[in-house]
Amino acid sequence: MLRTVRLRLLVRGISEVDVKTQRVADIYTGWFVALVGVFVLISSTWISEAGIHRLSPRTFPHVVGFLLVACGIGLALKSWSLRTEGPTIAWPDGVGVRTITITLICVAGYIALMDLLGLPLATFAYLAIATWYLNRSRWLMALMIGLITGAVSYYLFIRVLGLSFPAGVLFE
Amino acid sequence: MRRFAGGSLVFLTVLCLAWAGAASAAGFPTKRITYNICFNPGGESDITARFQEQPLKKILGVDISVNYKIGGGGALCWAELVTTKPDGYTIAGHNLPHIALQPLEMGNAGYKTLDLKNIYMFESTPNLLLVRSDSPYKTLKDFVEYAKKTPGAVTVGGSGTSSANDLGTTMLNKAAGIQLTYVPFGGTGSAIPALLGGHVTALMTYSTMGTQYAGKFRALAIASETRMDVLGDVPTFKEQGYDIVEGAYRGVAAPPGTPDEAIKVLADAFDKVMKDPEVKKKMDQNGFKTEFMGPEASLALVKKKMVEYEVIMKDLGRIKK
Amino acid sequence: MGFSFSYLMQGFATALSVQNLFWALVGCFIGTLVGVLPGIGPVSGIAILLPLTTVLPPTSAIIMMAAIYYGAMYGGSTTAIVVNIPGEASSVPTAIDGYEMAKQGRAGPALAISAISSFVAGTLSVIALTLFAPMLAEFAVVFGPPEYFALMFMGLSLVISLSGRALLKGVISMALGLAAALIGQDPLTGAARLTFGTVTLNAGVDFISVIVGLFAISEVMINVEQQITAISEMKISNWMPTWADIKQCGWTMIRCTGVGFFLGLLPGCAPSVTTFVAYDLEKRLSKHPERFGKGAIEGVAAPEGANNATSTAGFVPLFSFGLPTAPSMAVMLGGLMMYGLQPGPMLFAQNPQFVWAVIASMYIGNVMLLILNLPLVGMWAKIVNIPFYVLGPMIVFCAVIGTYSIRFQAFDVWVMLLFGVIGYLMRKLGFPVAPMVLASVLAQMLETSLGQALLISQGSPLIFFTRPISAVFMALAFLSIGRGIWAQVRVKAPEVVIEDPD
Repeated sequence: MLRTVRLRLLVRGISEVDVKTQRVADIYTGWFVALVGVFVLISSTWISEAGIHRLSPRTFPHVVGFLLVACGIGLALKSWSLRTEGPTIAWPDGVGVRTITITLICVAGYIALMDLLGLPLATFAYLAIATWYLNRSRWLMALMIGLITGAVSYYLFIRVLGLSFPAGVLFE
Repeated sequence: MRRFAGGSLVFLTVLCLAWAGAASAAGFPTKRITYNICFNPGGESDITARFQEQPLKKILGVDISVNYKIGGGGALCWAELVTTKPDGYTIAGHNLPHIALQPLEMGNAGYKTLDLKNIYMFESTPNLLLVRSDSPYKTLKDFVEYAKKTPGAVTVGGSGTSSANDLGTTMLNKAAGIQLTYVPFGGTGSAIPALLGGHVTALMTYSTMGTQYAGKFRALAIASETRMDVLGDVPTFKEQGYDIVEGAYRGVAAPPGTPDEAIKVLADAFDKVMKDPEVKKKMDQNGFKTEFMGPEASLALVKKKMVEYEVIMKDLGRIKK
Repeated sequence: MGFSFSYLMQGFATALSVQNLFWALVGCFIGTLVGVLPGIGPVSGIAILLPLTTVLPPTSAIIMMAAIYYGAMYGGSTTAIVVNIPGEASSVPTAIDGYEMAKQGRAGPALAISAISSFVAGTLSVIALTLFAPMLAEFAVVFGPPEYFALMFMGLSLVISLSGRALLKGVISMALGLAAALIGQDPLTGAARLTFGTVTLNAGVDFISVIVGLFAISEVMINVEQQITAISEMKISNWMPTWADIKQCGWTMIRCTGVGFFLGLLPGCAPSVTTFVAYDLEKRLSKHPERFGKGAIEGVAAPEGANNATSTAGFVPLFSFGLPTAPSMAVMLGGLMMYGLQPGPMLFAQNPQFVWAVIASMYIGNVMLLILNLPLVGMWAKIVNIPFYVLGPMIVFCAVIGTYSIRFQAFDVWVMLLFGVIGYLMRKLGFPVAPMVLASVLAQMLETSLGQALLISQGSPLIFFTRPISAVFMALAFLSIGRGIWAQVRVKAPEVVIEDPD
């Protein structure tokens, strides 16, 4: 009986992802964490046991995996058994989601292009674009910030301090 | 306003390009070299690097930045080295027998012995068996007798797994027919406090610690062919009836694919440093034996040791035949 | 090396020379600057600036190096408070309450109390160092692998109090942190774990990437989503703490010095651990623990003081045995060796005037940092008023270069981004972030000590209970866990972290 109820919840949950309240969110998160735990347990079976030791290199991963599975299921069941829904989760609205996504894409682009364009150029590009995106009217300030920071990062980090940041196509 | 902004943009870009052009790379090396140490601070690799830092800087004309990458008895550091950009600006200290033993014993140590491109082998330190000065074991004989009565209970600390210290303990076990428990530490630097506090019965460590901690520790035996000058009253294992000659060779290596010109420059620099009389004096005083093996000589040594160790390890039962 | 008043006075005389004072000042300044960037901590800072020190005579050089070290420690807490970027793991507890204070417009008092607490703790620690160094050195070696394990285990039990009412979530957060720390090679045998055969994962996930991601990046994401104009709108009117604030922290400062100093004596006990312990202690002893996490000023004073006390205590093994117990100490020792000083226990016995000059300069360094930084508090505090469309990308910039500078591999920066997203989700779903950080900091030492302890005990876990010190810590740990579970079981409610997690 319990199994069918749980299964139905899972199926219903997947078909209409309506994670608005704390309680529902915790149920999904609980199962997800348990899944991660299972993943850890499976991956740890490939760990080699070579060498002389009293503490197998597999022990900790097994403990961690087990903890994740137990707590994950515990969380899911505990939340499922609650009567109150708990507070609602403050998911971002459409504008918020778009802003976050674009911001993340900018950062990802920054990292991806760093090795190619080099630190100064990538920094300039990122700062100019990201700053402009957050405040469209101030594009000149965005450009200046990008330029100054790019130049500073070149001189300070690469020339003066000699750190091994990629200098990029422009300065190699 | 816009035109001004555009103009200043162009001006600044040109300025940057001009500056970049003016600062052209002369030859290797032109910027700081990172020297990775694979063991805890305070250990032999660390101490030697400290001796070498200044002279290297003088000879190469660039700063040497010493970094620590501790873990897995050195495996972590070497595994990372083989994936580092092979431009000659990152080198790491390496140790025999560790680099030969670890891939053998661990299966996948994260690197292969011959992946590490040898630059130089600059020192060797034989294994040294130490106990505290206030310990009841005055000679190796006392120690072995006690170990015979209590198999597994006598703990011997040392630096790293599948290292010279580790192997040395196994060799002693076999030669004396005893069962010592080897406890690996991240480096000699963290093994020393363990002995100072009495948490392990003895240390199978290196000759350097015999000179440094002469007041606090008693050396029972040294694993070299003949007695070391600076540790004149420490009998060798051989003298006391156990044919054990083992220790660590230390050198520096670079990632695979590092250009030979860079290797040559580095090797020459290390050679000059090790032949510097100041450096030699410090090394001798501290219980090191200096070696002078360039890239070819050290590669030959590594290959020779690889073969030797495979036999030893099979013989000791550490790896399957 | 015993206490010697005459040597100390001589040391002061040397340290107070105009030249040395100047170099101490330069060191403090550079150190602060270096500490502000995440990833470039005191170790890298000293390593990079070591060449600068070689043009100086030995005493001046080490005075400058010690100053850089302290300065870097201070710089790390500045960014933690003002923009929620902990410079290193030891600044994480500071970020928890400090940033909340900054959001409430109280960045000034937070920064100031951080400086004051550091000063008090540092000075008290240096006094303890001068008077009791030989005895303290004996204490330092009393801890062996079983004691370390028990201590770390107790540290993990802190998760209980850090999770508030959301115990299950706290444990999950901790377990995830442990899982991330496991990736890479086993510390004792070197076996590859959770690496899926890739070479990049073999080196593991650096915890700086994790904490910068969890704190800085997720914070930027939240701010961007809510389209805030600035971190704090409130005008920075008074940037000094009130006397009430300082009085509130009085006992805190004493306690955190004690915790930080004694734990700092243990080789291998990094400031990252002691700051958490100090923070937790304050929370437990406070009459209103729910204030912690929402901008409690003791929550800033405690970790900062502990940090400073720990770094001072780290000099004890160095002076007594010539044994550097942390990379930063080793770098300094290396600097010394360039002047022909022999490493080992005889190092300082043979050069007492040198040691006392260094100790004297530590007193001076503490004063100097206080003087240098208090006036600057106003300047740093104003950062929170900078419009976010400028500040946000700049924070990301600092985070990216800081993380990249760990190993100069883009992988670490990707990890930072990933944990940024994870941190964001964790906050939305009510998972506490602190346990994850704590776990990733403790994991390696925990496992290494357990492995070594079991070898010593020939496989028997009883060793943790038969040795007195370790037994005490284990008892504390189990008590803490038991109490936490009991508190949870009694109340049936959704797993909500009552205090705002970060």
